[in-house]
Amino acid sequence: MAGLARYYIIRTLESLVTYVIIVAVVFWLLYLYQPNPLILLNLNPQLTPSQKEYLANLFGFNKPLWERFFIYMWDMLTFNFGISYYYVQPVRDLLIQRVPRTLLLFGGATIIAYLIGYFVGTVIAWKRGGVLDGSNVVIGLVFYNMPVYWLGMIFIFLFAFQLHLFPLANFYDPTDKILGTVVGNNPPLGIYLLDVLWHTALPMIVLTLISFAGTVLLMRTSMLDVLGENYIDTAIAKGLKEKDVVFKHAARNALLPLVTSFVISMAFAIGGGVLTETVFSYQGVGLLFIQALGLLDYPVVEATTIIIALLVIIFNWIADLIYAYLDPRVRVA
Amino acid sequence: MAEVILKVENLKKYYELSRGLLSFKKPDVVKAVDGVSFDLHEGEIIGLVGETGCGKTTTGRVVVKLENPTAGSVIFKGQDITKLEGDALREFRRSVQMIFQDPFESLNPRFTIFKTLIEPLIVNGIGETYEERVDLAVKALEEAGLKPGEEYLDRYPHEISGGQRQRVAIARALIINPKFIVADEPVSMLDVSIRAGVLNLMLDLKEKYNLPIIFITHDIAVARYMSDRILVMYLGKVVEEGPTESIIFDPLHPYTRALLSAVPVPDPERKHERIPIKGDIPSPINLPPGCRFASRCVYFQKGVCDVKDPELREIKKGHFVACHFVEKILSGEIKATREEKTKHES
Amino acid sequence: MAQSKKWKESRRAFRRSLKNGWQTYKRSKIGLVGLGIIIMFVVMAVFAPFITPYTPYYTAPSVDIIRGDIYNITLQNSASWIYAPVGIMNYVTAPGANINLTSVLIYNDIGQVQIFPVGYNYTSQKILKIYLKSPTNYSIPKGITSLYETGTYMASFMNANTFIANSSRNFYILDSNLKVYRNFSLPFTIQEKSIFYNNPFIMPSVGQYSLISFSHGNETILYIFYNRQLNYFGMPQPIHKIPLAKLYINTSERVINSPLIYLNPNDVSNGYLNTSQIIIPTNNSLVSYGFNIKMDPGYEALGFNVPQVVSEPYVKWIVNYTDDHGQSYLPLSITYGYDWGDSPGIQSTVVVGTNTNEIIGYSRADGKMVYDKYFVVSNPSLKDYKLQALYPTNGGIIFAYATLGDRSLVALINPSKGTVQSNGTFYNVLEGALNSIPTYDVGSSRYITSTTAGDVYLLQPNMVINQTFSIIGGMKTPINGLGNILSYTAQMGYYYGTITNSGQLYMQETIGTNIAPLPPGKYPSENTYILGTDAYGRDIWTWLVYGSRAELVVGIVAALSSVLLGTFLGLISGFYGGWVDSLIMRITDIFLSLPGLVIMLILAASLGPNIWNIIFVIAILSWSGITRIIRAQVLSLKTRAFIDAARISGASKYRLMMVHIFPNVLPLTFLYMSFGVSGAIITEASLAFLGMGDPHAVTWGMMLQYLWTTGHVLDAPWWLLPPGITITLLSLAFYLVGRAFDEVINPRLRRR
Repeated sequence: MAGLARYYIIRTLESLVTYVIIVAVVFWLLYLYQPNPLILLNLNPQLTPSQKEYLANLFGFNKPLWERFFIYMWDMLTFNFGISYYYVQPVRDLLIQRVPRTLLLFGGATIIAYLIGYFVGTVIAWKRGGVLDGSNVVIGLVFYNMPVYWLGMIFIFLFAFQLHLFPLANFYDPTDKILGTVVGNNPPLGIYLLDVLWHTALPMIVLTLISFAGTVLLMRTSMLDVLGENYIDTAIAKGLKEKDVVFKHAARNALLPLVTSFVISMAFAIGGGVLTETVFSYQGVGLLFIQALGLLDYPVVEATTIIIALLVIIFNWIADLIYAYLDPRVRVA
Repeated sequence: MAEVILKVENLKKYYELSRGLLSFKKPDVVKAVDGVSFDLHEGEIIGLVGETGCGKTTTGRVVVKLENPTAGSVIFKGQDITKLEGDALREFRRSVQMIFQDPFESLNPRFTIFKTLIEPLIVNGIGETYEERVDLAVKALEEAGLKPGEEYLDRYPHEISGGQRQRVAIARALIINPKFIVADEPVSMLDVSIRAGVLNLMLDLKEKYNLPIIFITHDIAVARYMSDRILVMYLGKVVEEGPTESIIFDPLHPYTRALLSAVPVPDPERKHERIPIKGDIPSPINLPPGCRFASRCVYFQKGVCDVKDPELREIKKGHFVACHFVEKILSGEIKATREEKTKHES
Repeated sequence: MAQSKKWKESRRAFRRSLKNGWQTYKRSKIGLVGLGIIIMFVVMAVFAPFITPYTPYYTAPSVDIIRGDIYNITLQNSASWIYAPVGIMNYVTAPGANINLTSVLIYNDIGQVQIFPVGYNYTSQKILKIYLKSPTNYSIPKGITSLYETGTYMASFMNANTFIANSSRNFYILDSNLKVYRNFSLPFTIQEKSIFYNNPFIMPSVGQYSLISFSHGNETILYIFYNRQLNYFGMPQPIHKIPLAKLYINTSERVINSPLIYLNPNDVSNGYLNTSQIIIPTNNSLVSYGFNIKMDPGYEALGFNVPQVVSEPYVKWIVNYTDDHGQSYLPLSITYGYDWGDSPGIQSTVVVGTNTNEIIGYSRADGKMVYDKYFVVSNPSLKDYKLQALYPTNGGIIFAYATLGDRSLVALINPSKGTVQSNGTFYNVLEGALNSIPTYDVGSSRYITSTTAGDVYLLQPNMVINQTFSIIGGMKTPINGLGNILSYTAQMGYYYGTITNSGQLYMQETIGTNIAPLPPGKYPSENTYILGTDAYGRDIWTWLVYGSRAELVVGIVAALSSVLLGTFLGLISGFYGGWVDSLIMRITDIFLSLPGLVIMLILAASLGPNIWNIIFVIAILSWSGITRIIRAQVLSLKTRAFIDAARISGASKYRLMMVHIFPNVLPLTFLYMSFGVSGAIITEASLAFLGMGDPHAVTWGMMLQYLWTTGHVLDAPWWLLPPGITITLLSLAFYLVGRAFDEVINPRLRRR
C-alpha cells in the first residue's frame, strides 16, 4: 500500500502546483483584458471613495506590476477576494451564496445522468443490440450534439411557457406558490427547498438529456468488455442466473471507468455551467461570472474564474485518487 | 583462418529500475548481459541460444548499437563502436543490419514495400536517381526470393503474408550490402512450414556473399540447422560455446544438456533420458552470488556453486564451458539429484 | 519523367489504401449519414447565393415589417376617381350637419364627393376603424378642380366649416354640407391644370382671413375672405360681404407661376391694414404689388375688424431675373421662407428656384437680393441633378426637389441662407419623380411625399428615410392638398390615402407597430420568407444558408489548428522524452485543468469580438486534449521494431519522428479532428450566445444570440428552431464521421 500513499501525495502536490499556476495564469489573462484596473474601479459609481481605496490597496492597483502580481497571488490563495464593484458586497459572500446552487444543479444532473447510464447501459449490454441499443445511440447522440442553451430555450418554451409545468427562470421566486402557500421572503425551510427544487428541475432535466448518451455508451462499452471476460462465462456455466451475473457481478466490475468519468464530468459541467445558468437565469456561479464580465466587475471575474478552476482541479484530483485506488496499475507512474 | 569481423569483449548491460521520487533504497539492478565475449568471423553464422530473458536479444541490440552497453567493448574494423558518434556512427550503420522477430512489426505499416526498402538508401545517400533505387530495390527483393520484384513494390505490409514480410525484411537488410547481420529470432513467428524457406534463404545468402550472421534463437534445433558455432546463454552469461556439432552431440553444461534433452526426437527407438530443469527461471533482479544456474541445476553442490561464478574454460577443442564440475559430471562422480529443491525459488 | 513515375506509383498505392479504407467506412451506416449531412452543408455554403432569394444584409421593407392599419376598397366607376385627391377631414360640424366627425373624403371633377366615416373613440381618442364600405355621397358642381377646407382656427363662436372650390370659370364657397353657399364667376377662364403649381393659390389662413388668388395670362385676381361666421348675441349670422375684398391686378406680362401673398393683420392704422403684398412672377420679372385693406367702420364698434375696401395696388418693387453674376434665369418656383423667431405669417424672404440650379433669396420688403446660392448637396456625385421646384413647409424650411433621369433628389433649404441645411447633408435620393407636394406633418415630425415609382416616403427632419410604403398597384392620386395627414393628435394615428391605378381607395397607417420577427409566408411587398424573418427583418433561410459558410470555416480551421498543435506537441513530447516531455506534459496538464469556457470568455473579451479571434480562442483551449493521446501513441510506436529498423538504417532522430512515426499518428489526428470540428461548432455557438461572437459574422450562433437579446425566445419558433437544428445536425455529422472513421482505424471496433 505504500505505493498508493506515495501516489496520493504526489498527485496532491501536483494538483496544488497546477492550481497555483492557474491562479497566476488568470492574473495575466486579466491583465490582457484590462491592464489598468484603476479604470474599472473608477467606472463604478456605486462604490464609495473609501471602498475604492480599500480595494486599490487590497489588490495593489497603485503599485508596479510585479508587486501587484504577488499581492494578487497572496490574496487569491487566502481567498481574500475583496468587494464586488457592482453588488458592493464582499465577493466571498456572493460566492458562498452561489457555489452551492451551482453544485446542486450540476451535481444533481451528473448524478442522474450517471445513474441512467449505469442502468440503461447495463441493460443494453446484456441484451446486446436490439431496439433499445439503436435508439439510445441515435437519440443520445442527437442530444449530445445539441447546444445546451438551445435545448434549454426549447424546454422553457414548451414546458414553462406553454404548459406551465415549470417556472420560467431564476433560482427561487418569492411570488411562487408551493402547495398552496406563497413562498414569500422568509420561507420555512421545507417550502424553500421545494421551491428551489421546482426551479432547478428544468435545467437539470436539460443537462441530463445532453449527457446521458455519453454515460450510457460508456457503461455499455465497459460492460461489453467485462462480459467478454472468461470469468463471466464461468459464472454462467456454474449455474448462476444470467440476471444476477449481469447486475451483481459484471456491472460492479464495469463501474470503474464510469466512476472516474463521473468525477471528471462534474469538472467539465462546472466549467461549462455558464451557458445553462444564463439561459435559465439561474443564479449560480456561472451566471455571476458572465454578468461580472459584462459589467467589468473585476474582483468578481477574478474570483469566479479561480473558484471554478479550483472546483475543476478538485474534481480531477478526486477522480485520480479513486482511479488509483481501484486500478493498481496506475500507481506505477 | 577466416578474418575476425567483429570482436565482442566482456560486454555488460545493466538496467536500473527506477523507484520513484520518495524512495530511499538503492535502485534494483537487472544484469541483462553480464560479461559476454565472442568473436565473429567472416562467413560464419553464430547461433546465440537461450531461454527468454537470458540476454541474447539484448546482446544483439548492443552489437547493432540500438543500445549502449554499461561496460565492455564491441570492436569492428578496429574501432570500438560503443564509442562512435556522428559520421563514424553513420558509417558503421551501413555495415550492419538487423532482422527482427516479428515481421509485421518490423515494417512500417504506413510505408509501401518500396518505401521501406529505399529508406536505408535514402538515409545513406545511396543511389542518385529514382530509377537506380527502384533497381536496387527490385534486386534486393529478388535476392530475398520474391520474384518478380516489381510486383511487391507498391504493396503494403498487411497485403502480403508473414513469410513474404520476413523476406522483405531480409531484402531491406541486404540492400545496403552490410558487412554482417544480426538476426533476432527471425523465424519464431512464422508458420513452421515457411520457416525452412526463410532459413535456407539465409544460408544461401551466407554462402553467396560470405556474410556473417549472428543468429539469435531460443530454438536449439534451428540453431543447429543454421549455425557454424553456437553460444548458449543463461541469465546474461555465456555458459557454453563451441562448434555446432560439438555442442549438439556433446553438450557439457548441465543447462545445455537439459535443453537438448528437452527436444523431442521422433525416433521411438532412441533412448531418451530427460534431464529435468527444476523450477522456473529466477528473476534477473538482484541475482544471488555464485553460478546463475545453481538454483535449477540438478548437480548443484553447496558451498561452491552458490559462492563462486564459474568462468568459461576450454574443455575440448574450441568448446568452452562455464561450470565448476564439468569433469566430475562427465565422469559420473556427481550425480543428478532428483529431489525438488524448492528453497531457491526467488 | 522519373518524378512522375514515382508519383504515379506512390499514388497508386495510396489510392488503393484509400479505397480499402473507404470500403470499411462504407459499411458503417452512421458514417455515411454523417458524410451525407456534411456534403449537404458544403453544397449549401458553396451555392448560397443561388439558393437564397436575399442576402444576409437584406432587411424586409417597411411594408412588411410595419403593420399598420390598411384599408382599401374598389371604388365604383373607378375610372372617374383615379386622379381624385384623398383627404382625411377632422372638423367639428355645426349642429344639424350630417358630415361626420373625422372622415375620409374624395372628390372628382364630375362633381361627385364621397365621404367615408371614421370610427373614433372619444375617451381614448383613438381611431378604431375607417369604414370604407359605406360612404355618403354628395354632389358639388361639375368641373371643380380643387376643394379646400378652410379649417377651424379661430373657432370661438359657432364654427361652420367652409369649403372653397374652384372650377375653370367659377369660384365657390360651400358650407359644411358641401352645398354651394356662394358662387362667383371668375373674370377669366383658368385653363391650365397642374398638380404642382396650385392655381388657385390658396394661402393658409392668416388670422381670420383667407386669401385666394387666381391668375391667367396677365390677369390676377385676389379674393380676401373673412373666415368667421359672426354671431351677434348668440345667433348665427350669415357671412357678410363675401368676398370681403377683391383685388384685380393686370400685369404687363404673363403670369407664369402662382403669386405669393403676404398679409399682415397686425399692421393696422387709419383703419387700414397696411403693408400687404402680392408678389407676382411674370415671364420677365418678379413684381411686388403693395395694397392696403380698409376696415369696415360699422363693425369696428363691435370690436371686429372687418375689411371692406381695398386700396388700389401699387408697385412696390420689381426684380429682374438676373442672378448675381448678371446671368438671366427663369424662375421655376417661388416660395417664401422665414427665420425662426418670426411669427408665422411674416414671410421675410422670397425664395426663387431657378432653371440654372440657383436658389436666390430676395427680401420681401424691398426686393433686394439677399443671397444667390447654387443648389448643392454635400455629395459631389449628385451635382448633375436639375432643380425642379421649391415648396414651403411648416417651420419655414423650404423643401427643394431636383431630378436626374428617373430619380429625385430632395433636400431642405435654409430660407435665410439659401443653402441646404446642415452643411448640405440634409438630402436624400428617391426613386421616381415626385408626384405630390411634400407635406410636413407636425405630429409625427415627418415629411410625406410620393413618387411616380409608386412609393410613399416618410422622411425625417434630416431627410433620412424613415419608412417607405409601396402602393400595391401603383398610384395615380398624389398625396397632396386635401390629403392632409391626420396627425393633429398622436392618438388618432397617422394615415395617408391614395387611389391606385386600378381604382382602389387605399388608406394606410404611416406609423404602425413593428411586427418583426415575421412568421414564414408571403408578404405585401411580394417577398416570401420561407422561414420568416428575425427581429431586424432579415430572412432566416438566407442566414441559415450563409451561416453554413462561417460554421464550416470556423469549425474546420479551429479544429485543424488545435489538432495540429496538439499532435506536434504530443509527437515531440513522446519522442524526445526527458525534460522536454516533462515540460510539455506539465503545460498540457495545466491547460487541461483550465475551465475551458470561462477562460475562452475572458480571452474573447480581451481580444475583441472578431471571427479570427474566436477561432484562435477555441484552438488554444482545445489542443491539450489530443496531446496526451498522441503522446501515448508515440510512446507505444517508439518501441516497435520498424523504428529500430529505421534507426539501424541510420535515420536521424528528426527523420524518425517525422517520416516514420508521424504518418502512423496521422489517423488518430484525423479522428480527433473530426470530433474537434464537432466541438468547435458548438463552442462557437456558445461563445456567440454569450455575447462574445463577432457581430459582423453571419453564423448560427449569432442568430440565437440575436434571438435571446431581442427577447423573442418565446414567440418566434421559426427563428428559434432552425439554427439549433442546423448546429445539431452539422455537429452530429462530424461526430458520426469521426465514429465511423474510428472503426476504420481501430479494427477492434468493427461489428463482427
